Amino acid sequence: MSEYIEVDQEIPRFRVNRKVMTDPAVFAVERERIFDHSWLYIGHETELAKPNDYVTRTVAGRPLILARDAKGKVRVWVNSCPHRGAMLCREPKGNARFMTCFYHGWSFNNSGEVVSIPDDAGYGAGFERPGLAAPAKVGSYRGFVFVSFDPDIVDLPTYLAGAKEYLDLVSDQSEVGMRVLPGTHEYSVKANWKLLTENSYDGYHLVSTHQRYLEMITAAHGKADISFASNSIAVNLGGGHAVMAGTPASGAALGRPLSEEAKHEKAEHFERLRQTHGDAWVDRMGGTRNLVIFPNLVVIDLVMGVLIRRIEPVTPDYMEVSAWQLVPPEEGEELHRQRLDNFLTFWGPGGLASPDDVEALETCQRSYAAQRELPWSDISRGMHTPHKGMNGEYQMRTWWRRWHELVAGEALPEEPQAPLPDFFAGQRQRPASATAEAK
Amino acid sequence: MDIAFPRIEPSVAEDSFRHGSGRSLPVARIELGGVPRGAAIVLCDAGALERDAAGFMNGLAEHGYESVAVDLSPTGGDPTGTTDRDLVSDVAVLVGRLGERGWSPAQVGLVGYGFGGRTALLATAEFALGAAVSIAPSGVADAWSDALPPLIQVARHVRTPWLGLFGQQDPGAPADVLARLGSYLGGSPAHTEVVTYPGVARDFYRDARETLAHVASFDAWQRTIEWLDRRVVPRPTPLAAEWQRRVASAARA
Repeated sequence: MSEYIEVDQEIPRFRVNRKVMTDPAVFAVERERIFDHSWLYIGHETELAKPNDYVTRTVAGRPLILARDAKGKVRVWVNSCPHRGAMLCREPKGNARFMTCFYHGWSFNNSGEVVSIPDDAGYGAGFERPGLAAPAKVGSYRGFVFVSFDPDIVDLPTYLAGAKEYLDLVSDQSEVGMRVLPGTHEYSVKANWKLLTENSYDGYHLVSTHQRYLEMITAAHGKADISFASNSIAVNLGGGHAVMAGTPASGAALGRPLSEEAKHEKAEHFERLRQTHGDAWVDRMGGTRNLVIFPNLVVIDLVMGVLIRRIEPVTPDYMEVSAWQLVPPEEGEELHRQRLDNFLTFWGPGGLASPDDVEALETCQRSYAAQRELPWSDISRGMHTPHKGMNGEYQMRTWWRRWHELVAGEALPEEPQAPLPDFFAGQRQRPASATAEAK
Repeated sequence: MDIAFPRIEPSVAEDSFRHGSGRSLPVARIELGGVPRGAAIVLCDAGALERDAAGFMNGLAEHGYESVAVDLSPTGGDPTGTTDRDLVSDVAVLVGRLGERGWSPAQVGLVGYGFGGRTALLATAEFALGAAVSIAPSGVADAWSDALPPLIQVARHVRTPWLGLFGQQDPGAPADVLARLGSYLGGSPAHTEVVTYPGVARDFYRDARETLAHVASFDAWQRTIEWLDRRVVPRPTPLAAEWQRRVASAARA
């Protein structure tokens, strides 16, 4: 057993040493053993609507350009001129077939080739003209684009393991393809990045942390019915990925009530989806899911909105968070308006839920200054039973087991999980055009 | 810091647009030595060739673009009844002229002012050029003539990335019409942007002492050059061409 995680199967108890939230040495090891050897989410293909569209992102500390080249192919480049290093794109998004470094004027096309070097006669005929650097691997699954800096990593579908099914449940919600809405929620948290991965599928904190939100729900619905928690489950999806999933009852309980017009449209939309995908799959689609794809991608389908959240560790006690909303573009105006309202009300940086989470995590981080007196955080909830519910912490233990395997080089003992209830095992009647393509 | 580049006097000669509107029009030319970065067609505002062409063309030359400039607006009482189809055909003639100097359409930028800006937008629906910019295009909300309807009625989705620059106080381009135009063009296969400068009139692209006007003219020119530089395919230098041949040869091997 390492100094980082202590597992006692007799009690049972699962504890994480708080030094992993503060120690720069641990942070450096995470960078090397996790972030240099995982598939990391960079963006969604629908953020690049037209040829030559690009967005700039920082992934594992590296400045990257996610672009659709002139022929429509999705590309990822290191946002650094191979000449002397200045960033080629300094805006968060744009459209350009050519990127010109403002330092010395070298110009590159979005296929990565150098196309122009000012006064190139100064280099002579034999000069090897460098193109743009790229991550070792780029892959896409249902429009979710990932990169890896490890040339020997397994392919993306293998890496995603059981998480693919939950990305399918999200992606199948549109008949024409889900799209990311323009605009990004960007905020930072003065806390270790792992605290937000835990928080992103922590069902236990809903009632205590989000009283403000539940008061709003009570006012809007006349009551706040959280009985859905008893039917919700936590599932180990393999590879450190896990999900907290609920039935349609959980979807109906959160968010402001829909107008009659919106309810009608939603019912019709789901009816059409039933024709394509079958009842079992669409019943599941109507439920909720908080999915964490190891290490730092969160996809939450809750409160009538699909949130994509990417967590970027910056220092041991500071992270940057980017979030987008994924929507069915065929949605009508009224349903769309209510989706946006629910999205902002719950998830927005100024909403009624996210700020409370940020406050909770920042106080955790501040308190870790006393880790000599209080060295352990407990993540044992639900460990005593094979029935893993959303109010337990099995999903987090799943994540921590993978973390420990990579950081400490030691596999921790697994714990038994009861078979999934039938509802959560429902499958599509016909496979959709799910494609995973290594690019 | 002002850098004084030597001014190039464009050559001006009558050119036949026999394969376009059938007119004969004066065309200004600046041809650069060495390996120019790209080529540009400048469509001047009605009656403004003599006043504007040399300045715009020298500005483009500073960034490596050789250019041709013309005023395609109907003259006098417009006895020929010039139509939008004629204007687009005239642009095709100019693209052909540049082709004679070895410029492919992707290596050509189209920059239009006023009436020329209107024509530039129409031409982008027809041609896949490197890039196009319309600066203070006229005839957006109102017809120029019976044969030249308002742009908002005749604009089509564009094939060339298009940038439209407008003065907020231009009575010919009301905000609601621009919003509709921008929204419609946003559905084009090529990227489009509409920028409106607050507090300035239609001639915002001419520099002036007043702060907003100066800022608008500076920004408009900066945006124009960046729009071209980001999209117009550069002509390779001999060394770059040799490098491309070596890379292609290595790829085949």
